[in-house]
Amino acid sequence: MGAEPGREISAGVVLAAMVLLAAGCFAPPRAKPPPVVKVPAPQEEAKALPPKPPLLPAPTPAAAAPSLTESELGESAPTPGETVESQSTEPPSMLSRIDSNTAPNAAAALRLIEEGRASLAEHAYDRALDRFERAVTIDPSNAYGYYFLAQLHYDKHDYDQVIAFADKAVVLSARTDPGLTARAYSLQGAVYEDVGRYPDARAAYRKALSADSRNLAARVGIARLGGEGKP
Amino acid sequence: MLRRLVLTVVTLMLGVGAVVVILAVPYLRQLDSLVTEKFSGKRWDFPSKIYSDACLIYPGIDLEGIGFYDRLRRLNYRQVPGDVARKGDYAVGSGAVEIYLHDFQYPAGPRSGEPVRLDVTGSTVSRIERLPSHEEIYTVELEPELITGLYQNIWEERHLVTLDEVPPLLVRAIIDLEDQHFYEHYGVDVLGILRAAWVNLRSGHVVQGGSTLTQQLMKNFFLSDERSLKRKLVEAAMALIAERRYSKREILENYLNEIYLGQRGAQGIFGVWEAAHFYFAKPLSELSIAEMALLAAIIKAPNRYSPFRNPELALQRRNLDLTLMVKRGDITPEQYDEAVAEPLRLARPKPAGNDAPYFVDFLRQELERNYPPEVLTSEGLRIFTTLDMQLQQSAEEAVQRGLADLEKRYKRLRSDKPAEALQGALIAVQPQTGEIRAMVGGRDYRTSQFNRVVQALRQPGSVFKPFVYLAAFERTEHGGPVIQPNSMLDDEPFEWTYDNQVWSPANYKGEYFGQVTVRHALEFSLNAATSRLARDVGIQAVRDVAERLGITSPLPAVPSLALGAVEVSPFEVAQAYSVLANQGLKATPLSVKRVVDRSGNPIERNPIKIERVIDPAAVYLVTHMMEGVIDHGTGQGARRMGFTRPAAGKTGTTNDYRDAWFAGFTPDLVTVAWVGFDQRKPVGLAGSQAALPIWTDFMKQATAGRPATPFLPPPGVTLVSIDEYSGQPAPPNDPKAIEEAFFKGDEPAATDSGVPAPLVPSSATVKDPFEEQPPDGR
Repeated sequence: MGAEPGREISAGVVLAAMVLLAAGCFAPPRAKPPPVVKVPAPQEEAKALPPKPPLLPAPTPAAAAPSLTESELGESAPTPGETVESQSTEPPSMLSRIDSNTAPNAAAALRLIEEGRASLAEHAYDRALDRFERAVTIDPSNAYGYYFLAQLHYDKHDYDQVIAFADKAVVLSARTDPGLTARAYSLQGAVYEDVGRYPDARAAYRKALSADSRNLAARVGIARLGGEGKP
Repeated sequence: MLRRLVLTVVTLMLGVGAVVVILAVPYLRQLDSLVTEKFSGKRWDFPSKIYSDACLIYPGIDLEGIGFYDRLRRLNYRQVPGDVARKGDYAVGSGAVEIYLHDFQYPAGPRSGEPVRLDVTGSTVSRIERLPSHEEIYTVELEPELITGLYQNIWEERHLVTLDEVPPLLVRAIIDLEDQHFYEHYGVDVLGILRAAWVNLRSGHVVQGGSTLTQQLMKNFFLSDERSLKRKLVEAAMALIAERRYSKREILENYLNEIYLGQRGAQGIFGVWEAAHFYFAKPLSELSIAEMALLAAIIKAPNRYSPFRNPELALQRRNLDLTLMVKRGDITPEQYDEAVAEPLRLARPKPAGNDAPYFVDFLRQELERNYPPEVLTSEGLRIFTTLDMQLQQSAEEAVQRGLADLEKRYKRLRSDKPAEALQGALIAVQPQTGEIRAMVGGRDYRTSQFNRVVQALRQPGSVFKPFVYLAAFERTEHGGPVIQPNSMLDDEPFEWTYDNQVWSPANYKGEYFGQVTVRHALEFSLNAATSRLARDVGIQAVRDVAERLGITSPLPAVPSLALGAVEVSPFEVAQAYSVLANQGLKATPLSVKRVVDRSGNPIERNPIKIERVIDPAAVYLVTHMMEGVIDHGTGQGARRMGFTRPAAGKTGTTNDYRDAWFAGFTPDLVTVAWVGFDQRKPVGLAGSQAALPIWTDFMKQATAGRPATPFLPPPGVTLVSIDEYSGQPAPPNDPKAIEEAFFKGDEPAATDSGVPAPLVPSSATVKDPFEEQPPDGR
C-alpha cells in the first residue's frame, strides 16, 4: 500500500525511508531526507537473496530496533505526509491466527489466550491470568501470551511486570509481527507516562511507531506528550 | 414402720449412690478430658495436601510421549472394555481414547467430571471432543496429582473428610447396618443392647453387636481390643460423655474418619476416604450404591469381610445391607435391583507411591516462610505446585539409572557404605515461567535427606564459562572491542598475575590449539583461551553477569572465577541458565502456584514474574554457541544417545574431577545434572561422561510428546554462513559452512574489523535468520 509506483517520490527512496524507519533510526520530528541506499528491487530475487540490512550503528540494548522484511514494510510504513489508517487499539481475535499450518500447541495457546481475553474484558483477572500463563507454558514463544500478560498487569498497575512482559513480547514478535511489537512498545509507553517518566514514554512510543506507524496509542501518546514528539 | 424402713433404704441408697458418684467423679473427669482432648485434637488436624501441576492435553500432544497412561493410573482411572459409563473410567479404542473425568476441586472452582473423547493418530491427539455431544473442545486437563500430605509425622498416610464430602447414602448404609437408632440415642442404645442380647441368645452365637457408632468411635480412639465388661462400661461412659459434649454431626464426622476398615501390609486403613481409595480406587463422590453398601458391610470385621480375601462373604454381607436400605426406604427397589446385581469391581493394588520427597522438603521450607508449621499440618490447606509428576519420575529414574550404570562400568565408584555412595542431583525448570518441574536431591531419600539441588555447594567448573562469553558480548554491544563468535582467541599456555599472585590455567589433558575461534573455545571448553578472554573483559564484569543471572553464592572476583572455581548449588546454575533460555529475562523460581484453605478460599497466588537482566542479542550469541557444544562439542554425547531436539548446554568438570556437571536446555526446559561424592572424593570422570548421560536420559523423556521448538533469534542478531575454522564468510553452498550469529551491523561482511573481504558479494551470505528456522522446528 505504501510503495505503489506512480507516486511523486521515487519508489527506491520510499523503500529506503521505510527501511530506516523500521530500523528505528528515523526519528520522525527531525526527519531528514534519508540517504539513498541501494536495495535490490525485484521481489522474486529478494526472496532468494534477502537484501542486506543498511549499515546502522549497533543498537543500544535499551533501543533494540526491530527489523522488518520488505513485505511487512509495504504494509506498515506510510509515505511521509500520507494519511494512514490507524491500527485499532485491540488486536484481532486470536482465532483468526489459526490455520492448518499452525502448530497444534500454538493453536491451543491461541485459544487459551482468546479465552483469557474474554475473562480480562470481564475483569475476571484470576481466570485471565490462569489462561495466559497456561498459554505461555504450552507455547513459550507465543508473543501474544506475553503481551496480554503485560496488559493484565497494566490493568492491575503492576508496572515492572508490564515492562518485562511487553519486552518479551517485543523480542518474540519483532521479526514476525510488527503490529504486535508496536502494541507492546505502546504499552510500555503508557506505563512510563503513568509514572511520569515522559522521555522514556516518548522513546517507547517512537519505537512503537517505527515498528508500525499506524499504531494509534503511540500516535496519540506522542501528540499528548507534545513538543518534539509530534509525528 | 414401713415408711421408716423405706426412708432408711432410700437414704442409704442415695448415700451409697452419692459416695459412688463422688468417688467416680475424678475418674469421669479424667475420661471427660480424654474425650475432649482426643476430639479436639483429632478433629481439627487436617494435614495440608500437596498437589502436582495439572496436565494439559491439547491436539498435537503425543500421549505415549507424555506418559499419559501412567498419569491416568496414578490418578486412579480404570480401564474399561466398552463405553465409559462412570467417572474415572477410560477406554482405549482404535483411533480414539475416551475418558470420563473425575470431579476435581480446582483452586479456581470445582470441575464436574465429564466424558471426553480424544481422537488419536498413532498416539498423537488430533481432536478433542465432549461426549456425548461430540462438541469440539481444544484442551482438556488431567487433574493435579496428590503428591503427599504435610503431616506432623510425614510418612503417616491419612486423609480426613468433612461430613459434607461423604455421600449421604454411605452414611445411611453405615447407620442401617451398625446403629439404626444413632440419631435417637444418647451414646448408648439400651434397647439395642437388649435386642442384640435376645437375638444372640436365640441363635446361640453373636449375630448382632449392640455398640453404637459413638461407642465404636470411643473404642477406636482409645482402647485395646480386649473384651471385658469393664471395657464395655468405660466405653459406654465415654460415649455418654462424648454425646453430651458434641453434636451427632461431629461424632459422625469423626467416626467416618476414624473407623478401621482394613489392612494394607503393616498399615491400617482408617476412615471411609482412604477405604474408598483402597478398595475401589475412587473418591467418595464416585462410589456406586453397591460400593457404599460394601464399605458399610466390612466395618464389622474388616479382615473377615475383606472383598480381597473373602469375596463371597463380603458380597453376602453387602447384599444384607442393601436389603436393610431398601426396607428402610433409603433406596428404591430399582436401585436395589441394580446394586444387588453389581459384581465386585475392586481396585488393583497400587504400587508404592512416589512422593518426590526432596521437592516436598524444599516446598516445606518455602512454605514455612509464610506459614507456621502447625498451620501446615493442621489447617487442611491445599497447595498446588509446579511439579510435573511424570517428569519427576523420569528424573528419579534417570538419576538412578545413570549412577548405577557408572558404578557398573567403574568399579572404583562403588561403595559399601550407603552414606558414602556416589551421588547425583537433577533439577528441571521451565525458563519462561520459572516453574520447577522436577527435583531430585539425591540418590535415595531414605539414606540421605540432604537435598543436593539446593544445599550442596559445589564447584561448577566450565559450566561457568558461558558467563565469560556473555560478559564479552555484552561489552561488544555496549560499544567495546568487537568480540563475536568468529573472533580469534589465543589458546596457548598462559599466566595471569593478579594481586601479586600468578594463576596459570591448564587445558584439559594439557592440549592447546593455538588460534581458535571464540565458538571453538566454548564448544571444546578450552581453559587457556577462555581465561584470556576473561582477563580481557575483566573478572568484575564476569562476576557481574553471573550475579545478574541469578548466582547468589558469594563470588570472589579472582581469575579462577572464569573457570568456575567457586561454590554454587545446582539450583543457582539452573536459575542462571534459565535466563539464557529465556532470552535474557529472569523468571522468579516458582514451586507453589496457589494455596487455598479447606473451604477453597484463596490464600496465596504466585503469578509468573519476570525481569530483564541482560540483553537478548548477547544471550542469543552465547546460546547459539552452546548449541554447538551439543551438536559437535563436548556435549555431542547427547546426540549420540539419540536426543535430537534443538538444545544448548555446557559440560562442567572440575580440575580434580570431584564434580561432574551438565547444564543445558531446549527453549522450553532447563535441566542441570550433577554427579559427585558428598565426601568430595574424586569421581575421576568428565561432565560429559558422568552427568551428560543422566541429563540426556531425562531430557529425552521429558520433552517427548511435546512439539519441538527452535531457538528464535531476537532483533539485533544476524545469521551469516561462515567457515568454521577461519571465522570468515563462506562461499555459497559450501557444505562445510556453519551458520553463525552476529550483532546486526557487526557481521563479518559488513565490518572491516580485520576480516578480509568475502569472495562473494556479502549480501549473498547474509540471511534472514527467520528463514533459517525450518517450520518443523529442527
